[in-house]
Amino acid sequence: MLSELRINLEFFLTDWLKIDELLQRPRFADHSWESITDLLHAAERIAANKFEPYNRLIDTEVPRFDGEHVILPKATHDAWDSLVEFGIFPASQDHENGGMQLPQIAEFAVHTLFAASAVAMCPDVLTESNASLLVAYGTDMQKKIFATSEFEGRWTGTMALSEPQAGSSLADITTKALADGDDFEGDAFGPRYRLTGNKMWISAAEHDLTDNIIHLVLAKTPNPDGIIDSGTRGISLFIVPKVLVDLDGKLTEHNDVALIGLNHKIGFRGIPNTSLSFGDGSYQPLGKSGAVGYLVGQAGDGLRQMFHMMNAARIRVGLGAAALGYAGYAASLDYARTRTQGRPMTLEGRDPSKPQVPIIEHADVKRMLLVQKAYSEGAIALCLYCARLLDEQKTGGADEMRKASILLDTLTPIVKSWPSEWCLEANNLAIQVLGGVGYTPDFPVEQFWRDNRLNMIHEGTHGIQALDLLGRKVVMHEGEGLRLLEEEITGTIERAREHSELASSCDQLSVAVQKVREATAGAWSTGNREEALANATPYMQGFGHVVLAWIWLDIVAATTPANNPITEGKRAAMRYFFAYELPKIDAWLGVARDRVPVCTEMQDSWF
Amino acid sequence: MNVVVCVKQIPDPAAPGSLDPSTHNLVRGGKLILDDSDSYGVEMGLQLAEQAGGGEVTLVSMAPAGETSGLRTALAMGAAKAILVSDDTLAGSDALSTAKVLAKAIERAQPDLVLAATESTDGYTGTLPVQLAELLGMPSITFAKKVLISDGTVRVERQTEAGYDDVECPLPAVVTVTSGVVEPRYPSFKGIMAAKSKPLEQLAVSDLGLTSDAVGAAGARQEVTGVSAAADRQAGEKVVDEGDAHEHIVRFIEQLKLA
Ligand SMILES: Cc1cc2nc3c(=O)[nH]c(=O)nc-3n(C[C@H](O)[C@H](O)[C@H](O)COP(=O)(O)OP(=O)(O)OC[C@H]3O[C@@H](n4cnc5c(N)ncnc54)[C@H](O)[C@@H]3O)c2cc1C
Repeated sequence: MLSELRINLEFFLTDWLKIDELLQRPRFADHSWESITDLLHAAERIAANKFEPYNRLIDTEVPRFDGEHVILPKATHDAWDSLVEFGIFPASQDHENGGMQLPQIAEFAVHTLFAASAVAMCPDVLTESNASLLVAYGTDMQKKIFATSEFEGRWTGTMALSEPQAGSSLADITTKALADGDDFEGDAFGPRYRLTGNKMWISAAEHDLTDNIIHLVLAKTPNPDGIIDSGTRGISLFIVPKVLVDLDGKLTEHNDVALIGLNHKIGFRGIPNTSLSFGDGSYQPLGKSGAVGYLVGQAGDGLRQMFHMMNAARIRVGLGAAALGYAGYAASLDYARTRTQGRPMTLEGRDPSKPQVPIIEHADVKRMLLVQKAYSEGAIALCLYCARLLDEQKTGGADEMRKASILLDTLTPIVKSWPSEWCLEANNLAIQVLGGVGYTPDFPVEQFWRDNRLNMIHEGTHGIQALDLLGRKVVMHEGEGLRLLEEEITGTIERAREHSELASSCDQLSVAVQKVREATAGAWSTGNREEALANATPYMQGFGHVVLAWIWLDIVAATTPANNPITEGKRAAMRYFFAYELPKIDAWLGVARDRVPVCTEMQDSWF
Repeated sequence: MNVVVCVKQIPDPAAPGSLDPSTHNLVRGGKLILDDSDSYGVEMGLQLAEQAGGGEVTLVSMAPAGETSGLRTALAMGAAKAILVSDDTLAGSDALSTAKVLAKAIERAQPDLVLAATESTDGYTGTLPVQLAELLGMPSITFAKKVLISDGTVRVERQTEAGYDDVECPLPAVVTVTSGVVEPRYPSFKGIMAAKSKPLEQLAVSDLGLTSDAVGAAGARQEVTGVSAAADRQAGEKVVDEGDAHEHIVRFIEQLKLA
């Protein structure tokens, strides 16, 4: 599976995204396609030896609390150590921050291999995005001690936003932070506060992989008049280390952060999920209770800064979902090639003395495999495209950088939600291809499905992504995000028109884009927020399918139809998407455009 | 302690391979990779150089078209430099003519120890290392599972069917390393970047003082006269566990031993 995936990734990077052009840019002077393929090969080997064989083990040997520590299996320690030695965490960071300025598209390709092998192995995504946030907003000291230790894999990171009463609605968090003494601003690590409150669902907040864990915590601070804002303006961001450290980063004493309990989950079981208490007096750091936290950036700027981490994490959620979709696809493809059952629909097939055929020969099984291929490879491509935008943000001209930022902002809800929804469906079909054995733990596909089921929930639920898309992203900057996307799609259509066999797909996509525009305008035509957003999720589904149709057309238009299985496969996936999937958008976009009130009008008592 | 490790760069076993119908040779187009069985020798060499507290690992390889992908992997693992012999006249080499070429290249590195895999993953002749030892005038020890160096002597735990033999010989020597006896380190990202600037000497046949009629197809003493497809794998025997599966398994293993 991994070799095929790597070959696919290489195809996307070279034939489609033209990485060799990107590598001409000064930022990437140290890199060459040769060294990037070496990197992918090395990642493949680590993934094949340290991740993939233990994916079932981490699902069954779940994190265990012995009263003092949360213990993870040896396989997790080994995998973590191998990632740390590989040195991938800071790879794409600037040289001055200890990084190697690897293009993001290459880093994403590397992560796809690990995610397809064992997505819930260890808190690599959390640690890396936590450290990246500190690089973006932290002080030199915060970077030097906290971010560096995380990039070096000596400590791990978390993001602590959610609370029992505040999941989607972060404005309602109640964790409080108060200045710690009169000299609170004199601390070398930043203004020092004491935090109290409970956090829920915090991933990787307790484990024995590393001897410190850096929590990035959202908490409310009072304004100068001592009043705590009830909205998001009062939210600030804090570094709360599990263990406090001295100026050299040496561990000193346990912070007042305590594990309330581990949450049990249906998937993603390798990564412990916790309920945490801050400042309940379990420990007395610096002589008194209250969790010590160091302010990051300005007070009141917490949510905006956290979005830096969340946006990065959202693309990575999409990538994880896409990789799981691919893993299920590969497993079911393998199975379909060897499982014999039934005979062909032809006359010959009516003869029971003839041997049964491999199920891959049945049209319906091919359909299920092709759906998975179109969803998972399309989703991987979308994630790589977004990574390409991240690279553009760093290396393009001023205009390109701005465009890339707006486009990425607009696509973030799609790159998070589309793979989460449709690669989950791909995993569903992987189970279906296997039939009865797909429903047992003897094959990995049921675990892929359980693991993938998380992705529509965390990092902003599906519904919240939809509100973000229709409520903010397509209307902000007077709709510039949508306009830029349309421009990109039009560019693709123009290129695709050079291939006569793509003409009807070009027409189809033009019409589809028109429908997105009409749905957006229709939804907002009364200017009534409740009406506009009532069908935000179907709108996002339609929007997402149009984006994926565009991605598929762009891949096919950019790659010559050499008579080889890879390009033929991509063409077939595109044909499938345009014939079976794109027509679905009418139902989704139609209800959004017409502001269909069926759901809003539904009364609680009628259920 | 200077160790030469012979490494072969082979077609990626994950990609579908093919044989040239006229020569029956493996088609070696496209990117080659480090033969997995050589990664143990590289790891062993790196460990021995580290234990000796000095010295380095030099890679020696013969490959078509200046191919360096597999060498880069081994350099990224930590080898110091590489010698690659690449020459169109080498096409069609058999094990002995390959050994002649490698021996000349190895002589240039003046090693204390030469390591090789017991056999390559694509050719499987398993004869090259001993031919190499003969040509270099060095003693050879095969199937090492553990290698110890002290006072100009190499001591080897040599794997046998029953366990292992303790054997030793004076250095320099050629030792073949059994797959799986050490855990090859993974190239790190830093290592991959560093590998780009490590010395890689590329030589032609003439640089080695060999003539083209002694090497390649012209010098080969071995000829593949025919190739036939392997028999289809037979269906296995299914054992239904009715509480006695362990007995079936014991019987199965006993039969394996007899066969
Ligand atoms: C395994 C796992 C790991 C997690 N890891 C972390 C972590 O590391 N850090 C962290 O901070 N959090 C984490 N979370 C929490 C996660 O982000 C939240 O579960 C998520 O944001 C949803 O919040 P909730 O569970 O309170 O659901 P709710 O917010 O109660 O949502 C329930 C349902 O209502 C819908 N809904 C809510 N509000 C609206 C609205 N305004 N309009 C329309 N629909 C709405 C939602 O879409 C959802 O379908 C994790 C969760 C899980 C399950």
